[in-house]
Amino acid sequence: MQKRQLNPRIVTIWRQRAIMTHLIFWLIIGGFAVCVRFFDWPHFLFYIAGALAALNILQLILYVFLFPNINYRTFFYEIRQEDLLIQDGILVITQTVIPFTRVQNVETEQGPLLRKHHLTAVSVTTAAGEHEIPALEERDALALRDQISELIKENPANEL
Amino acid sequence: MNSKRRHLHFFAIFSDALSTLWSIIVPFGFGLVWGLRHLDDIIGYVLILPLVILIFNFVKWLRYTYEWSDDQIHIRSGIFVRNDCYIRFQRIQSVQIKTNLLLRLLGVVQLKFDTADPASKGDRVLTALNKKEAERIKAEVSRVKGQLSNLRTEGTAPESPVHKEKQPKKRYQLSGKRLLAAALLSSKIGVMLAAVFGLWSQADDLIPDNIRGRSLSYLEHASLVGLIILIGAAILLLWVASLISILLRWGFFRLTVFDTEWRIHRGVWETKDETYKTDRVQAIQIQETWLQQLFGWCTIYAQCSGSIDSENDDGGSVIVFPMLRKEELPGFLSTVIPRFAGTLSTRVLPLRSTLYRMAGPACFWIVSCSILAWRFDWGNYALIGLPFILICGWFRRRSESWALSDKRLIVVNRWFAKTTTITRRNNIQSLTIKQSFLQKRLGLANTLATIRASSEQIFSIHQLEKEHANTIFQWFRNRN
Repeated sequence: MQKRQLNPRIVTIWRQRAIMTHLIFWLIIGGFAVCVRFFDWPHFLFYIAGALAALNILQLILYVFLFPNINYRTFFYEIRQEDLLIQDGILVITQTVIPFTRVQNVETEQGPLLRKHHLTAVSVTTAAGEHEIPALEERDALALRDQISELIKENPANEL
Repeated sequence: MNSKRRHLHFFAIFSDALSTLWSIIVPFGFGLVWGLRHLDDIIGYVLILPLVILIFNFVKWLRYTYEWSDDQIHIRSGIFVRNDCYIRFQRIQSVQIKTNLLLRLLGVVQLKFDTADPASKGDRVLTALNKKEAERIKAEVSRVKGQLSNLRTEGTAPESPVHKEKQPKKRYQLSGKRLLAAALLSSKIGVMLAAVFGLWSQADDLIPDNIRGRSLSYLEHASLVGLIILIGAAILLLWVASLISILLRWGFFRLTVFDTEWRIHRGVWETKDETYKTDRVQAIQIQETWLQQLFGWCTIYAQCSGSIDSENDDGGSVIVFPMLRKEELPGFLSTVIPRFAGTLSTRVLPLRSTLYRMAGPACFWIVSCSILAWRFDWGNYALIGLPFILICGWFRRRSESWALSDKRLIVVNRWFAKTTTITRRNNIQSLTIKQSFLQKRLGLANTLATIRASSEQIFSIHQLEKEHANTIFQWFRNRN
């Protein structure tokens, strides 16, 4: 089977998630600054709050404007006869092969954001760790799940 | 046959809530109640806590029963939440019998069943048991398992009697000389030092102020030579202590190799009898510390799937033999575990990968030195450390290598000790290649092989040629 990319809508979802964490961090930093201002906390904590705010802005730039596009371009998965190949990564590109005979279970997960876009995350668990495909069409996800569980049945000789 | 989708019983809500509450109340609740009432006299608190623990354990003991029948053992436990556990004998991978000096005086042993569950929950331990009873259970388990394996192979070899399999293939005993060598070469001074420092920090609370003040003032007045002698004596003492601890731990080490299992017996005070099925072995590790390498010795570990004693000091891996000459290694491996035996010659990593890996720590050191030199006068002197880091990095990285031979993947890594890991293709759970932008430019890549031992274990080959990484990748993908 050929290389398949994620659903393009995942870029929006990644951005939305990043913005949410961004806002939560602003709340925390704001609360911190207010505490420093109105209670008798040492003054140097303002600098720490400032540094955190700078980091937060950096996070916004990286995770909202830069990383989602790069990650979308690098990510692909490929289902072959006997194994699953996943490539992922932003600065460090990772390629992982998981033979179907090693797969113990397949999980699908759908948070509110994914549900809105009719997407599903599929994660494949082996005896040592979990590998995730972050977004697939609901239909594809179910097909993948069934396909893998078929293949597990075909190859019961798990040597573990 | 399919069943309909069903909820658990409605009471599950309450029972789960109760067990959560209980796990919160036991540590905090008692402390809170007694702490409030006896806030001023801590003695009462100190006395009452062991009593509570004792009563708790008594109830636990009262509720903990076991019985065994033809093919399974049934363990009942739990105080509020009843826990019934049935273990089929054929699902038990190994039975461990453990004892220490105190228990041995009473003629009592600990019995542990290893099953395929993860180590955290899989262990079923009968904490105190009559020795005879333990032996009987162990014999029963191996009898049932033997019967089953006979049944399975009946078609091919109906004649094979049970006792024939019990004939050991080979027995390895750790001789006195080797034990001494092991103790001399691998005693852990660092651990001992940490223990003593820990004691010293505790000593603050134990020793009254005036005495401590006196002892410290004595130290201040002592001459430099005296101080050095004192430190030397302390280190020697620590070293002897660690020597003795290793002698006690590895004394009477005996490895008996059967066709399908190993039996390992060890310990002087705390004896341990352990049985491991060889088909559970996921990887073999050969470890050489610097001293061992100098004298040509090595230690053999095995990574097994299933639950391994997590309080083991070897971090979940099984120690197969503590002290072996390097030239005995091929013979030893082919007797003990033929699957993993074979050549151990490996391919060295390219030179630029060594330089690449040395660059990281060197850059870090230079940057931190510059910051230090900018802030403090003595910062410049910190640069003296740089050559040491470079030399250390050079030797560490140059000894790393890898090899593929038939179905085996061999990885040599070094942190302080040189570790050679041998694993097989069908023991690898997943294989990963990592490549950063800079590595791409240099034509290098990292390869990580994940296997499943008692916990997840990752063996990595750092910075090997990209094409070699691809070779390993293809080797893994073209299974069968």
